[in-house]
Amino acid sequence: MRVRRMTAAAAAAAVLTLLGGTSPAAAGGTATDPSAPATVPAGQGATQGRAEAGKAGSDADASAVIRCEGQVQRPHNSTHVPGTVNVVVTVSCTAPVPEITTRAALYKNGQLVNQSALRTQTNTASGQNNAAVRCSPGNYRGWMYFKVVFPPGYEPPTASANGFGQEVPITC
Amino acid sequence: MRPTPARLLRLRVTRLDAAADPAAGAGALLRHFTSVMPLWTEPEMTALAGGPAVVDPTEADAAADECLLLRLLAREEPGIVRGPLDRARQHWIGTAPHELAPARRPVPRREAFRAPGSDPGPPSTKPFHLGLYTSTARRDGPGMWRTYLDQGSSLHPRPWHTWELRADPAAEVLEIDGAAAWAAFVRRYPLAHDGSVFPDWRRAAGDFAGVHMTLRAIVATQGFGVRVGGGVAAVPYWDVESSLWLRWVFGEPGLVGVAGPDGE
Repeated sequence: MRVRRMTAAAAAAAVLTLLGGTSPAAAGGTATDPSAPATVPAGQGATQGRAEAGKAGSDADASAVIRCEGQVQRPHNSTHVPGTVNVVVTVSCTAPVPEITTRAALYKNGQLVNQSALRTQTNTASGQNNAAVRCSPGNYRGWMYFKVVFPPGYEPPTASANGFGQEVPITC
Repeated sequence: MRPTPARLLRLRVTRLDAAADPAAGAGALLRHFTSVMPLWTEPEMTALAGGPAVVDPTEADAAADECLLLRLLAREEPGIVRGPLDRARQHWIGTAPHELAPARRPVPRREAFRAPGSDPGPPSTKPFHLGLYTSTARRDGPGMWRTYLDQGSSLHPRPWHTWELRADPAAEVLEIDGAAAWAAFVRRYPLAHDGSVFPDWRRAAGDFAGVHMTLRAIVATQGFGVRVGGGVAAVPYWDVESSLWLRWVFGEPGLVGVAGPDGE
């Protein structure tokens, strides 16, 4: 039991180190649900966001830890709306959780060109959001923020992460 | 070393089968399919394969046949998985206008239908500028396009108007049930452009009222080229089971329902 709690605490600390580079003061952002930064930091590579929480339980209890992973897909020419560049961000958890909140953002040549509203999905093991703009040739990259509210009894009760995806050149 | 196309197909099947629960109903299985396949986009394929990926149609179809998810779906919805198309259960959904798609209308209208050749647009494996797309409604629920919309996309704001379109039973529909059928289709109606071979939808419309892209074909072809004659077919990205109608062969549309801004 003690080992599991330490694991959860350690995991929570690892999650917190993934935060940063965002400005809650931007339009639509709050201290807990940040908006996308206006520009991509110089030298920024792709990052990966994870959030997890644990509860007291036996080492053999797989449900004692819920892990959620965020992924920023590569922006692409939309195959459903012509003339549009779209980026999809996803969250996948190892078990259903009460809430997953996501925000997606799209950058062109290092500049923010669009960000989505926050989207909260409830009682689910997955979440998804997207951001899109009219296509013009350039280098595009996505960004995501996500926050997870874990079930009662899990520690920490919430966790969040954010990060950038891979940059890709897009012609229209 | 980059993975081979065959290995990419196995990876795709593995991801699809991650939720292949025999106890799950068709709705849950289709939701999982819809959560997986649209993520196989052109940039993702390029990154995975390190460049254009060309598959052997027979190998691709064999890989699709290994997919447990498809086998489970075929028990309840065989037409969605491999055809034939159920002409009586075709759904078209009109989503609200968006600044990037301002001309959308909530009602399918024959007057707005553009047959291939009436307005030449760029060659495409899934053209936007002509015809009309429907998805087959499940026996106990909506079609896959509605399932895709339910995942959430800012590009398709509500309200969503779902219409039933009953196709003329005599209308000829070409079934694309796999990579071999896709290759045969492109080989039969080739349009060479910019180093790839696209389907010539105008010529296809002379023989068929519609083309039905099944789930088995999507699994086997999405993101991959196939050799056709002296070239490689352009890569298709259809995402979900759909039919492209090249002629208006419907009776009066029937409104199934409206999903308003706050949901149904």
